[in-house]
Amino acid sequence: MPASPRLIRRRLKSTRSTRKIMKAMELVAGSKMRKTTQQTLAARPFHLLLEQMRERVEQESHHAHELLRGRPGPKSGRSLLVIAASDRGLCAGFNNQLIKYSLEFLRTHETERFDLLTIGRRAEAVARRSGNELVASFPAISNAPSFARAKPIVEYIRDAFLSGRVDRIFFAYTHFKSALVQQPTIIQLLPISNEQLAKDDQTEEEQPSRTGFYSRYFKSEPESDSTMIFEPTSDAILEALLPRLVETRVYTALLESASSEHSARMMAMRSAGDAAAEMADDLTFTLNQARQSAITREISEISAGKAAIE
Amino acid sequence: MSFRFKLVTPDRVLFEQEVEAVSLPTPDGQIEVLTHHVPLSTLLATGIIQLHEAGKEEEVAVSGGFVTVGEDGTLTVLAETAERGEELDLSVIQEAKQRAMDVMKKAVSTDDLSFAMAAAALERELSREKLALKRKHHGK
Repeated sequence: MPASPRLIRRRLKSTRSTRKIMKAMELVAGSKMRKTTQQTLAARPFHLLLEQMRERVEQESHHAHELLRGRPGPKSGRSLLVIAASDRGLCAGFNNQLIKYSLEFLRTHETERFDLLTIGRRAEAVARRSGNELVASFPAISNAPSFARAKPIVEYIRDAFLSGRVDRIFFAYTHFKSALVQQPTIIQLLPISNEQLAKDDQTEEEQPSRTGFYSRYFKSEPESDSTMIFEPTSDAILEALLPRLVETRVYTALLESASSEHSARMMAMRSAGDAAAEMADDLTFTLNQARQSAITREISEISAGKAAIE
Repeated sequence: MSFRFKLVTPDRVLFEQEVEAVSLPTPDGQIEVLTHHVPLSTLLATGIIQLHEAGKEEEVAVSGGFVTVGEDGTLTVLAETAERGEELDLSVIQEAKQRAMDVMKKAVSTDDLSFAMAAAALERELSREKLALKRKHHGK
């Protein structure tokens, strides 16, 4: 039995207005995506070259810089995992994927004690429930990413490391591959040198994108004979380079995350809008059918009445 | 003879091209890089980079960063900020310069972080101003 045309009309109206909202949100996310993607792509060369330079200088220097090899002396036995998610939802699996990936990472590193630091409200809620200690949470900066807004996060992380509260810091974010593909990624942020990490990789990890991402991604050709001149010294260069590298790593990761979020939201809104449009078409069709059958029924009633009179 | 020159800042790639000579400010003084320079790794100071290519000359105001000459002679400059002469606005620069000087005057001691930041800003604005003024006097 077809539903009453009035009910269908009401449904159709709400579907249409939903579609309009989706369309508007898609456009907003789209424009933010274009902006942040441009920022992300522009920031990558600097980061890449800085990593290459670090590898190069590191080979020459025997300097045990804290940021590079970790603090000397007793270990605190704790590590920190930073999770960079978003403040707002409606972006398909963007947050869920990253959180799932992070929790899995915590499970595979069960022997270590992990504190959590979250960026974005979506990650905060999960972190509270995870049983790990949540040491800090920052609002997401994906709305208008800028270096100034990333600065407090960088400072907090650096302090946590340099004060010796944690031995290692990992950073979970979503790597922006394209508007369609974004990949949850975890890197070791500090200490910068990933010798230790390379061993971890072989023993317990097979997934290529997880840790040691930079060493693989940014591997420069092995250069055996080194005739490079360092001015003033390789140690002095490291001294200047490492703090800058940490900032750059965090900032670029946050940019990657912002681009991923906006792309994911745009695609989610697009498919929701498409689904709403399809539903509206179906409803229109059903409505026309119902209307037509009502008309047919009325006509047959009228002609039946007329036949009765004659 | 020319070699590859790259100038990259955190938000853009300003140059990626062949050049004949580049003169850069480093903490130990201005250096000149030509083709077949030995591999070098050093710091970049605040100042002006001059590049020469095919008889033309271009100047860029930079503020701090890193410099590498690779095995293949490629010169890579990573600068915190870098502006071409035509991107500079003299009035904006002088305003920023004034601001930095005010902060320095107000600072209680020269150990202050704000003093150091202002001093760095002042240095940056001075090299920008120098470049902007140079352009102005060359009839543009």
